[in-house]
Amino acid sequence: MPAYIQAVSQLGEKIKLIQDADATGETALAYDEWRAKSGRMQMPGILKCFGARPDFLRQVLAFSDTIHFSEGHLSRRHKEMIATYVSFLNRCPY
Amino acid sequence: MPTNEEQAVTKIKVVEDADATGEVAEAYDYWRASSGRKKVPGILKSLSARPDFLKQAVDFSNTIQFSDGHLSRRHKEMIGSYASYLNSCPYCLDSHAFFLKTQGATDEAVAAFMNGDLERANLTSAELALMKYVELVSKAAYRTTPDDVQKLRDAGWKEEQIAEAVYIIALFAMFNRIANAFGVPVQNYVAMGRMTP
Repeated sequence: MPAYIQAVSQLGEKIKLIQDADATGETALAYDEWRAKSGRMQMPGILKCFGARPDFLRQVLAFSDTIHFSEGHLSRRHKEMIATYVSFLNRCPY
Repeated sequence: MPTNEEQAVTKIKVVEDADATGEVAEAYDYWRASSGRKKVPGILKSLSARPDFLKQAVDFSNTIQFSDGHLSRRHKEMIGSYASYLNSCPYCLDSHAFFLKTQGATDEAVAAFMNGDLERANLTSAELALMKYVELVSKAAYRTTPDDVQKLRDAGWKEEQIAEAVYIIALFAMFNRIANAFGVPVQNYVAMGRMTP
């Protein structure tokens, strides 16, 4: 990854994320649902960005599975090519 | 710019109301039942290649845009209108400036949003700060800084309102690109003063 893209993630904290340990109520439930489904423990940063609206977080997970993380009219492989190149163009190192 | 969407052809083919069968017809009916309207808007017809995704888009749009949340529906329509202006999306600019009017904005304010002329939109200083942030994220989210977010806090916006503003700006980044890539014809809601049924 070029340094100018890598550097984007080094600007410091901007909007506060709800971290795994601080999640309560609906946010904690939505995080737990993701953990149960994925079999992983630590919430990825991109999903913690949605901690302020756990109802929307659930919908984001659902439509991401529908349209991105599965075969469709395009193969998953071609979808990941698209996502990788778009992220490069948009300078999103994450 | 075509003024009659019946005669306009999109760049990428979509399934028209009359031609919809099976899952697509079912998804169109799902939207009709949820909205109480009849004619499926162009932006939703753009999703006809994936009716399962279309139904999810109807649902998440209702959750995050077409309702009050941490931000009021009115502020969401300001964000949607201004993001659509910045992204040069005539279809979304027209429809969301119209929705802004339904949320109590004056004709003068709606006209100002239609032209991206926020000085004439009679906004509070907090709303202007929010619109400045819409511009920063829409043009280059990667370039925003902790200080840009602090300016919003200083203007009185709470953390969860700033977070929700980002979801809405991103939602419009998505729908503006879909509308412009398909070439969805503008509906002229603002000029007509009403939506199509």
